Amino acid sequence: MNLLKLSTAYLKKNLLSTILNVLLLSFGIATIVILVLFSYQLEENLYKNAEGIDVVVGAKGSPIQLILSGIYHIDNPTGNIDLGEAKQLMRHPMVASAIPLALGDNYRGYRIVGTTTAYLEKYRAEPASGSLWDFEFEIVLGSDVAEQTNLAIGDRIVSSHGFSEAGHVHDDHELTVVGILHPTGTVLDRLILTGVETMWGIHQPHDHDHEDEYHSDQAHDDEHVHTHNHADGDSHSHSHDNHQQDGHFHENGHSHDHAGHHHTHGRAITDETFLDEGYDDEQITALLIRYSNPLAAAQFPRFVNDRTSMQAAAPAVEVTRLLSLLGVGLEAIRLFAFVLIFASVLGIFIALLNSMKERKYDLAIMRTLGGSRWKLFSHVVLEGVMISVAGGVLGLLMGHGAMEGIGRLFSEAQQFAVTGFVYVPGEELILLLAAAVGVLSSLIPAVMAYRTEIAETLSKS
Amino acid sequence: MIELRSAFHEYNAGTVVKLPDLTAGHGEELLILGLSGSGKTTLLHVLAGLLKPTGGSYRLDGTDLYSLGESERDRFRGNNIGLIFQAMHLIRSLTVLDNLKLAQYMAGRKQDEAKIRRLCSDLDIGPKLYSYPDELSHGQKQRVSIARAVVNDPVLLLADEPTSSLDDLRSGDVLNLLRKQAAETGATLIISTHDQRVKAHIPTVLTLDQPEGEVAG
Repeated sequence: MNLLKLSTAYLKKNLLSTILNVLLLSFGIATIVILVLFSYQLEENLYKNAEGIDVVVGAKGSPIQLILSGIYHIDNPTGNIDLGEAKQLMRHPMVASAIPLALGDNYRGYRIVGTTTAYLEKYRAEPASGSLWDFEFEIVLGSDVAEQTNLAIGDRIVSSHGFSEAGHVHDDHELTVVGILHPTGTVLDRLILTGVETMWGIHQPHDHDHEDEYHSDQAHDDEHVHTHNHADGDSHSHSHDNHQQDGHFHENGHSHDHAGHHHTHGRAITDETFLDEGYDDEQITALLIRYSNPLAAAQFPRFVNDRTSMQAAAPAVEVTRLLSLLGVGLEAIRLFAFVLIFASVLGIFIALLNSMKERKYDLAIMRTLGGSRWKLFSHVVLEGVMISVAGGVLGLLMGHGAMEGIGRLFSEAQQFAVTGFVYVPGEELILLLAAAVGVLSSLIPAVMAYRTEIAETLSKS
Repeated sequence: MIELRSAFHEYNAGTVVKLPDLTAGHGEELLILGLSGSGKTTLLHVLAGLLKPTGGSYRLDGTDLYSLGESERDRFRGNNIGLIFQAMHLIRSLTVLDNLKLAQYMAGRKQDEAKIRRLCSDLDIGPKLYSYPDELSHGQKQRVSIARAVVNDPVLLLADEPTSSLDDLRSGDVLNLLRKQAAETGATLIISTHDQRVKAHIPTVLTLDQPEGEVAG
């Protein structure tokens, strides 16, 4: 016999009320745990993906939209910018590095991003199998994409226009999987990557026998922002037939004949050659820029916004803004959690209070048997703490379980994979909160137990 | 050896109860007879160490009980005084075994299950060790409460109206059990009752006839 066994015996005696109070508290704790896990993963994701990006440049529009589409690949892009103009910014002295992104297509909902290999280096992504692209129409899959679509190296796919699966299908350009990336824990895992020129190639004006398709493509332009080619369609000689017949993409590229530049064989534009390759009348969607010095943060965005037809948005600023918008919702949920916890404080308090009335003879007897006032006090507090710590432990488990459930439920739809199998530093402190709930709610009943007057109680029997 | 000298207790309402002087040695048996309101309960509570008298002295085996601090007095009581109540007050959430272990635990003693088993088979409740009080008959509950009072080998065994709700036969049984248990530990046995039948078993009688509410001069 000890206080733990004694308190357990009383809790078992009132099993229903004990279970209800444990559950009530565990719901409140679980809600807080979900919030903590979610915020932690969200902030980690936001931070990790924006690491090393000081500013994003894209078409004018909402800066948050530009950040969401350019870094996190969530929202639709704000539009396209001319590569010529973008290159001027890339050469700007305040710019240490700039990664071009061309968006506009997806495969089964996974975004296809035309970029240079610098984008992969930024996220320290390396192929787990295969290699990076060397030629246009070669693609590299993020680890989640490979896992979800079961695509393997050598497989060919056709992309859909826009950002949903329902888009117009570019079935005249097959894309070949040449590599699959290691998981990076970043947005890259859910992207399909290729050279920018692939995106230009897919959206090129077609030969005359494809004219209908081309027109329907154009009709989408108001809804879907994508990279497409306005200019000199006639100067492109583009033989799709060869593609489909022999499948040798590498050999039969496109001959771009403009700006004095000759590009044959469809060899991919490398990071080193990007600035010098020409294509100035092509378009891209965004530039991810790192400054050469910290002072640029004050001047560069203003320069872009005032002097060019583009806009610059700083992830640090926009992410803070986004979190503060999101914060209202999270705050509401947090408030709800505290209401639940307060309700459980009341619940435990009332249960113990009623129990004290039933137990006044028991308490008096314990005193006559030699128990001190403090022993009875501890006995009652222990009972409250046992309920609340049980609620806390259950709440922690439920919170992690629910987070994992939510993560799985939305795993297809989200750019941010959330999981319940994550440890947030300090999350065990929530058990202290739970214990505090137990102490708080048992304090008054425990004082009543402490004050038990034996002679008075027993002579009333 | 218990000694109560010139003790009285004044209740908050101003009522003063004067307690008789009283001496009893080890193994002695004493019957306190009196109607309700005669100060019987006050005397019993003072003797049990539950109620500090306003004046007078009370010594139990040489210890001045009411000069001890409250927690020390609780512990002393748990170890030296066994109490049996008319309403028994067993703890319903605990089994018979745990009720008895609780007595050892609260007194700060080693929990001796073998001793509890021995005691319970002495009192014919051996098979009921794992039963809850609500599953016991009245007589069995009374035996459990006797076991609880003697499990810590008290020097003083106090029983409050142990026989009043029993028929003659059962009342005789209970008195025999009490006397036997007290004799085994060498405890002083004091029974407080208004039940005149007890006189037949315990010859030493202290009769209280103090009318209620006597005000001290």
